[in-house]
Amino acid sequence: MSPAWVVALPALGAVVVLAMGSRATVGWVGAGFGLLAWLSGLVVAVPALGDTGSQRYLLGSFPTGAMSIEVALAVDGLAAVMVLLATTVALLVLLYSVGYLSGERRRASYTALVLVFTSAMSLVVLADDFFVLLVGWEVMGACSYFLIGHYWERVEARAGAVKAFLLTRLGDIGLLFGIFVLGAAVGSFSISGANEAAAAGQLSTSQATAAMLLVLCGVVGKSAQFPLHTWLPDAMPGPTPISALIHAATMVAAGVYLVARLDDVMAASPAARTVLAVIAAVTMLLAALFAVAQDDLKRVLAWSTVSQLAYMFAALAVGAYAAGVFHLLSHGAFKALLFLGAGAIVHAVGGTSMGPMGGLRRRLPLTFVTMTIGFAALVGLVPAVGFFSKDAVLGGVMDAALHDGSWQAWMLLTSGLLTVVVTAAYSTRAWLLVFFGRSRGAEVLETEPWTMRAPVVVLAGLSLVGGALVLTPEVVDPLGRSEGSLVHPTLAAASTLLVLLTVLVTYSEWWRVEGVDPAARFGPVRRRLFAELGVDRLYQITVTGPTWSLAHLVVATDRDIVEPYVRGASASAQGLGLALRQLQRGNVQVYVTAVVVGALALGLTAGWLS
Amino acid sequence: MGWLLPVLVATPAAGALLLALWPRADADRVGPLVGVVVSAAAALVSVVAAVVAWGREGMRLESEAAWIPSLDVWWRAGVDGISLPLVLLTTLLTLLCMVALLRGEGPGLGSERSLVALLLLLETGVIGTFVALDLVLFFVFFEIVLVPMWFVIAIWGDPKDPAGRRRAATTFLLLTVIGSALMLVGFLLVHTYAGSFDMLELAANGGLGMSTQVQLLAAVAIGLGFAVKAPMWPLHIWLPDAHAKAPTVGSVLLAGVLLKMGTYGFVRIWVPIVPEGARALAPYLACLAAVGIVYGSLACLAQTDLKRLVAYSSVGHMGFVLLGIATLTPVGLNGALVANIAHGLITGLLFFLAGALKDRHGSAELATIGRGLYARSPRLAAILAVAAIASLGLPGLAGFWGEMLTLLGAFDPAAGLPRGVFLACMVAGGVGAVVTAAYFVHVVRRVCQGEPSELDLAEERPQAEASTRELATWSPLVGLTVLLGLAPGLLLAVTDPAVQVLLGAGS
Amino acid sequence: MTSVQTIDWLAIAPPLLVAVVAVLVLVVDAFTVGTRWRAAGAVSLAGLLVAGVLAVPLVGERRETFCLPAEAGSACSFVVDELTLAFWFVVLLGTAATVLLSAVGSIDERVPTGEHHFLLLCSAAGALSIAAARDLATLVIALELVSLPAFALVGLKRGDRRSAEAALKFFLVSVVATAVMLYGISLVYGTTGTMHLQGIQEALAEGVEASAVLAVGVVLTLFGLLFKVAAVPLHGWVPDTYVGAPPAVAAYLSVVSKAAGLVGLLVILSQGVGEYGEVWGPILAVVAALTMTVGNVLAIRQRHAVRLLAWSSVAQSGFMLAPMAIVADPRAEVSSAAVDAVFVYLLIYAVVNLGAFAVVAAMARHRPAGAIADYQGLVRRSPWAGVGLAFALLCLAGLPPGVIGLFAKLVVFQAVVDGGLGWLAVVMAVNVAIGLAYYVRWIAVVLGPVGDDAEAPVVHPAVGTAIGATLAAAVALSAAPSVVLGLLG
Repeated sequence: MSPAWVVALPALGAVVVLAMGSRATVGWVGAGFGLLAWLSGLVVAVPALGDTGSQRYLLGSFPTGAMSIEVALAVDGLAAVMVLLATTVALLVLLYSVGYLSGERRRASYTALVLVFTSAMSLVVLADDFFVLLVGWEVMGACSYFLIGHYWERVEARAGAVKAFLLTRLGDIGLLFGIFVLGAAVGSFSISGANEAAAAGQLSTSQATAAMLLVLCGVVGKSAQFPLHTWLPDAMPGPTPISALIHAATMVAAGVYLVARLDDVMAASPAARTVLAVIAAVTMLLAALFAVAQDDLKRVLAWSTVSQLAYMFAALAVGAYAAGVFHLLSHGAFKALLFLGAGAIVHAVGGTSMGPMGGLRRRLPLTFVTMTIGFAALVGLVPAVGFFSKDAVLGGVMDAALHDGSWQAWMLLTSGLLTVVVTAAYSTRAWLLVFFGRSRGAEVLETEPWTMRAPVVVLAGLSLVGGALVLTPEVVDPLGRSEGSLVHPTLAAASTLLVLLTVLVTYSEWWRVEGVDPAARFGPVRRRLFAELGVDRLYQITVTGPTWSLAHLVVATDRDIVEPYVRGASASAQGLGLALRQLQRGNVQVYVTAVVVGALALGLTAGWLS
Repeated sequence: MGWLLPVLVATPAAGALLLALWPRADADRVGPLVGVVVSAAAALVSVVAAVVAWGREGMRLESEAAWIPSLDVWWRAGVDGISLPLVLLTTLLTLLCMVALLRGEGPGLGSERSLVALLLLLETGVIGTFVALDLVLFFVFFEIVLVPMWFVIAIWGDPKDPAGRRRAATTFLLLTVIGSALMLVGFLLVHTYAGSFDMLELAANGGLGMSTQVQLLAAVAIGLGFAVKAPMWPLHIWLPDAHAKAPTVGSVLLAGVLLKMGTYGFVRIWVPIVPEGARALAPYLACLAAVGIVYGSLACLAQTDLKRLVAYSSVGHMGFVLLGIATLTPVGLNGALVANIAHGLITGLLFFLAGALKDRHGSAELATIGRGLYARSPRLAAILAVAAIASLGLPGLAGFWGEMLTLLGAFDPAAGLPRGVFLACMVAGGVGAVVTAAYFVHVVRRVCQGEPSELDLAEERPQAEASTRELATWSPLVGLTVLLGLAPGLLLAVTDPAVQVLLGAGS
Repeated sequence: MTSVQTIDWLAIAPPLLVAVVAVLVLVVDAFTVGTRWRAAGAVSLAGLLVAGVLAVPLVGERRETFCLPAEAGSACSFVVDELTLAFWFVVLLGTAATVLLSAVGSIDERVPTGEHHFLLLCSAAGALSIAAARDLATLVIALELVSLPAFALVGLKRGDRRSAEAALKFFLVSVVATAVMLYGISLVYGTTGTMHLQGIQEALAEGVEASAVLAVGVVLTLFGLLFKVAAVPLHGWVPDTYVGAPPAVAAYLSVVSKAAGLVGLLVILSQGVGEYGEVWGPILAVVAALTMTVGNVLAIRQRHAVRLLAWSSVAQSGFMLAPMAIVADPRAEVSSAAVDAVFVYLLIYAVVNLGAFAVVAAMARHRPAGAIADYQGLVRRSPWAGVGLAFALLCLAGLPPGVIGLFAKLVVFQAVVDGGLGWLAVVMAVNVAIGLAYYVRWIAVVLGPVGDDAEAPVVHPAVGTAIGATLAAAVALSAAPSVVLGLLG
């Protein structure tokens, strides 16, 4: 079965859904198409799991004048797991949305956009031509933009949508130029071609570096890494299922996918890997710290997403390919779980601020259990999948540090272990604030319908058993790109110890004075973290503001300088006319004088010319 | 089939004549109807021409006849992959404009009959420009469009501002005429030295007989003519006013096809006929184009009038086209041609929408239009959002491919051109693309989204959802935008062979 | 040693006949009562027609008469060649149209019909002779024969101070110009010892001492003709005179007498003083540039129809003078192309300008004030007049659908570019735009909605004929430009 179906079916679904308009059944139809997409995904992906080869499907090609662009898809091990992740989460979210959006007016546009997004995401992971990938990449961005703005009456939704779109787009220009560089260097826009060329050493280091640094711009934008990290938390006003699908499991992870996909090119450029390492090291810790200070549940999860994505980049930066992909998958599962759980809470209490929450343990038992599993995975506790994947990442980094003792690896290891602590801290804090203690005002209005429960349960299950992947590393790394096992017992023990300690400390903090936010302990620092170090204001001052004043300057220029040229031209013509008219007062002496003077002038000129 | 193009050119003119001679009594009533019929006929003929000529190598449907032998002026016409898409775009947009006029007496419209007749005359001029293969013939057609457009703007323009619309129209006319007169001088210079007006022969000779000096002079003169039309910064100044004051159909045709006459001229005449001059001027053209991209997009950020905004966005988009041409590479030229078509479709759509909003609210000021269009007229708002996203060059929609290819061309310009300059222009283009995205999402946020104020929802505010006629007018443009976005090959497969021939001959 | 000269009567028949008919008109007019225009007009038209017919057998051959004996170089004073015939055609055409327009002036009895037509035909006879004159004396005489009746024509309106004043100005400027010309001629004669262009040409070819004097002489000699063409700096009289004169006379001055000046220039420059091209060439180029620019910028703000046309005619003269600068270009094809360009432009200009004046004449009865505002919505009040005027103005502006006007400009541009006067071409390009500014404004008034004056002007059938004929000609030529452009080369 051609992988094109995985892309086509959801897109078709979007058309159907739009045609239906906002009927009550629209959500179900959407879920139906989600199911179709998932099934086609299974058919396409399962055979390719752990496949060492790659099957290419050329659907057509068109000329550009130089290298032609090929509409090509390819299925290999990496694509397979990504397709499974994307279609699965999409299906679950579509199902979840049936309940979540019941009684909303904008079901049709919502469902259609989710389906388009699913199609685009599948296109990204299946593409074997940079421009095909770019199409999916940008369409995802557009869907994200529209879905963040789903509640467009709310100012923070509007602002978040614009911010998300522009920051990612800024990065994508870099990605486009990176594609140019690669295409020019390799002589084709085929992704596999680029990898092969790099593996065969046909790419000079400078070419690879230039290309990957430019590509990384797009990656950093898409995956909300430092310094373009500020958009993801602001994207949270979007519907929570969207946050689960787009802003946790799939789209933001597409950046990681792209780096993994270009692993050979990456390997050809130490410089690019160093840059990636620095970005990852900074982002994982910074985002985790930000997460500590937030009192909005979704914002906490958003920052933790940023931080977890940085883990994946850390793995890829040191060549721990398998670990990176593994963590991508596991994070996709448990973060989607966490967000859908948060969705259930929103559905129940009608808000995301943790301030009024508390004691929801009893009122929402299922959500409590599932989210506890999710948090366990997030902090990395046995047996949750997160434990294994994070251990794999840190292990990979540690191996790199110990073997070739590169400073990048050491930096990443330090930052990673610190982040483990901070992660445990904010997870525990959120967990406590939401589920324990006495309710601080949040009333549970309604409990979620089964359509919302089923997906959460499924994801919880996956988060529990997912760790089994360590037994079949070839699934995440069919080509054995990264040597070394996924399991590092000593490190695992150490980090588990760290986590437990942190949980204990946080709990005691919380328990000491019942119901007080442990983060309060940070005092003034907390305010700084809460303000996310004012990066936004910095951008406001250095970029946005100047751009606007420049815009006004340009308009002023057009009005006050260029236009006057035109006006001036006509004015001068008319002015000249006016001046000449002074000689045209009907005064015959003037005319005669003109003739005589003219005669003299011409006569003299003639004499002079001859 | 040589007769096909003469027929195509003559059809709208005949329609205009018919309308001019129509008995006065019911002329204004039947005017738009006749217009629809005639322009539909023209569209049909152009489709036939397309079917015949599509994807074939070289010139098709050529016709040739001595017109003024004493001046060595011939009727020479033909279409190839470069002109054919533009011809189709022209007939399509004209037809849609006529359909849009069907609504009868709209605000500010005088005699419908004359308006339709003028638009048909305009169509003749534009099509003629695209199919002409003789420099003088090209020039004549190039000039034909001026007077009708002057009237369309000066008489049917913004009813609120008679003086302003008159001034805008005259500025447009005079700037364009100075440009085209210089262009004529350039043509004559070419004829003096190369001894022919035959565009194909001249292109094949690639500047034979002209010293670099002469080519440079000719390229400057000819280039100025096209640069005013395109428009190239800083000669764009006529454009915002003209668009803002023109009636909807005027803006649509102005942006949709008239601007293309300039860029088409660059591709068809400037590049191949005075190659050395073009080569010498290309870097300057590229820089001005890049400035235009950034300048235009920045100007959009600060606009408060939707029509002016779209007008300035055209400056930016045409900047991409000019940049592509300046690279003198097949990639760049392909990009330019694709961007031409995409801009015609998308900006045409945007002007239709802006016009619809202006009709509803009496002004295209964002403040007057108000907020929450999603709630007040969902369909219109959704199409507006799609058009905006398309115009900012989202991959998967028509706007992306052309501009991407022009940037790709700038990344690797023709041999002998200063690469550093073009790389700088490419980066500028990238920046411009981001700013473009900024102002379009700004528009969507400002108009489509947001809580409609009581004022917006108040009774006297028209909440009219897009009418069936409007949807019929817009949907073809939306459809084509998506189609070309998903399958740009449809277009590139046609333009690329022609471009290869063009540059192959040129060098 | 003088030998009896044989006179080629056939060659001199057309001017002679026109002169005779002029007298005849006076007689006829004296004996007619009632609608006197009809009689005089009919006779004049018939005379012009016959003159045209008499010119037909001369086509395709070169007739010379009033020649010096062979030993004196056998230079001739009166030569009928292609150029002559071409300009005769324009002159006869223009005069005929003027006769038609004269109907208006004659209806209100303020213009004495007989005298009017008498003077008109005399002047026309002069214009015809200029085209054939090949020595400076004949040229000056013919020139005066054109001018003197013209003064009278301008001042003929009874009890109209403005017209008298206009005539006076016209006269004074002309006198000075003629004086300068005569001085120039005397210098030329003094240095070359001959009046015949042929002789002068030979003399220049051999080369004379005191070439500077000769150069000055040559340039001053052109003055009288530049006056007729209304070139800067001899343009001042034009608007006052045109406005003061009856529209028919204004039309005559702007076409026929201008044609006379042009042909005189062409003859002298191409057949006489070509050697000194590098002297007068640049001067004429500058004069042309100044003329078109001054005419255009002064026309921009005009609110009075005739004044606007007056200035536009000055500007158009500039375009006709432009190729003059290169009529003596050593490259034969370039120089002949330049001559042709002048003629073709003049012919087209004559047709459309007469059309414009015809409508103005028609309106002059309706609204004597002659403000452009009076033309508001003319096309709806009297379609033919409106269309005629609009199309004429389009042709003058040189924009499609006035294709023929565009080609007129194109021909001139081509000649100038071929002649290597790039800068002049650029000046012309700019001037095309400036001119457009005021033409299109007037067109907009004509085609615009009807103003408060909704009444249709009464168009005299004769004038209507003129309008119809010129419009038909202009449209036909626009449809098939090769008809007239075929005359080139």
